Amino acid sequence: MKVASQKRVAQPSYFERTDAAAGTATGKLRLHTETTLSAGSLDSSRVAELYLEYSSELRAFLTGVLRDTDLAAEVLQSTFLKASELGHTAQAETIKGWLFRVAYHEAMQVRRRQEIDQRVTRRVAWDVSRSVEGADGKILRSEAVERVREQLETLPHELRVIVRMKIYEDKTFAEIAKEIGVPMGTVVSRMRTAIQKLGRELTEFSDL
Amino acid sequence: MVFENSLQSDLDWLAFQYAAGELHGTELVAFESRLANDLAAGEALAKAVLLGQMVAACEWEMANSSVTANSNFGLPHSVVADAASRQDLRPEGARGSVSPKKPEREMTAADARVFPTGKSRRPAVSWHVLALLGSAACLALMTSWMGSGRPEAHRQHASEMTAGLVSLWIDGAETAPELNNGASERDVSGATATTELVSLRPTDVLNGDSQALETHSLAAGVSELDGENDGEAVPGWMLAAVAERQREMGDPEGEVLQD
Repeated sequence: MKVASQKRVAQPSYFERTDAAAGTATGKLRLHTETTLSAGSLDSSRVAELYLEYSSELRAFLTGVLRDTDLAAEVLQSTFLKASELGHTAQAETIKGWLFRVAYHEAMQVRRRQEIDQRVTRRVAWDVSRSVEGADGKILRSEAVERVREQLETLPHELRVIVRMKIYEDKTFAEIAKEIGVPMGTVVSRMRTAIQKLGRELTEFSDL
Repeated sequence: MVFENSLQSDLDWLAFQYAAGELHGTELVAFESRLANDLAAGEALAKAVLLGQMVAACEWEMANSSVTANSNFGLPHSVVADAASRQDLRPEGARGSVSPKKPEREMTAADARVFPTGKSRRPAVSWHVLALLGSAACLALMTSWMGSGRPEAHRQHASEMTAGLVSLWIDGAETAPELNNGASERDVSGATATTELVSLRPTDVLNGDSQALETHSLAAGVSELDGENDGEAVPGWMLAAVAERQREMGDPEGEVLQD
């Protein structure tokens, strides 16, 4: 079992191996905070911090895996429940990776339980009506979407058409190629160029 | 550096293809296996999904800009967007791809899990609370006015009646017990509501205690009303402003009445 090192002196240490013989025998870790000691669980304030920091990204990730925002929200909740119970076993510096791994496994369990498995990946991961509202209603109001909108408007027409047909009208590359009368390879390469341009705007707004 | 950028670009593109349902067979299996342990792949997928959502939202907004510009009447964008989506104003080609699920469902599911320190909110409930508070303010004004020239006992009775009616209006089953347990009487008599409140803990939220959140949301509105309702006329605009402010702030320091 991994133990995180104490990185910030001013802050309470995340984890500390118990000196007690019983603790070492069972491999349990004890979380120390300034106020409450809770053996074998992550402090709720720390879980809250993690939630604020990573929930948006995790929600998007889970939506990508599950193709369902309701299921993604449920799995996001169970991921943070796991974090509160077992987050102390992850190293502080890799907690994000730990959360993603837990989220992935939880999502896969849901997929197996619901017997949807890889069939879901035939659909796009976004939904137009849901995208308008966003997970918490802030998508359209965000600065990032303003930048994306600007970038969309500056895209050459032949790229813009493909972006619209793929993302908004949910057509496959093959359907788009057939409809606009160009080879599929051209559609794919245009889409890739457009995604590269639009994606640049997101790198500056990782707080979404 | 160029090589790294190229790798990142490849990963981003792979993630986009996955999110767009364009990966099949072994490519699909390989990428999903990668998602299990590769944080960079997970981040790329999250980015692809966010990008897709934002582009879809932009396209939708541009397609419906004339509708929202002419008919929002100052309503929040989310409300307008929801109303417009119900009318299915999108282009013919896009109609089949939209889920019939309503945005409110997602907001309820998602926001019930958001900590009170977040900026998320539930517009449907907030508007509901706002409407209730507006009605309650009118009632408070009426009862205060009625009791202004009467003996103290009558004024006290009017205040209690106001609090009782407010509690009945706000889904009595949720909040009436709290208003009737003595706290509301103390509040009416001038005590500050904050002494009777406890913080809503993140663990409550993590445990999916949506009932507590609901109670918290409504009780916060009621406690503000009670705090003001000490026999003097309460300006309706003030209550509305407080409720609006609370809605805008996403109730960052959410508190719930203690049983």
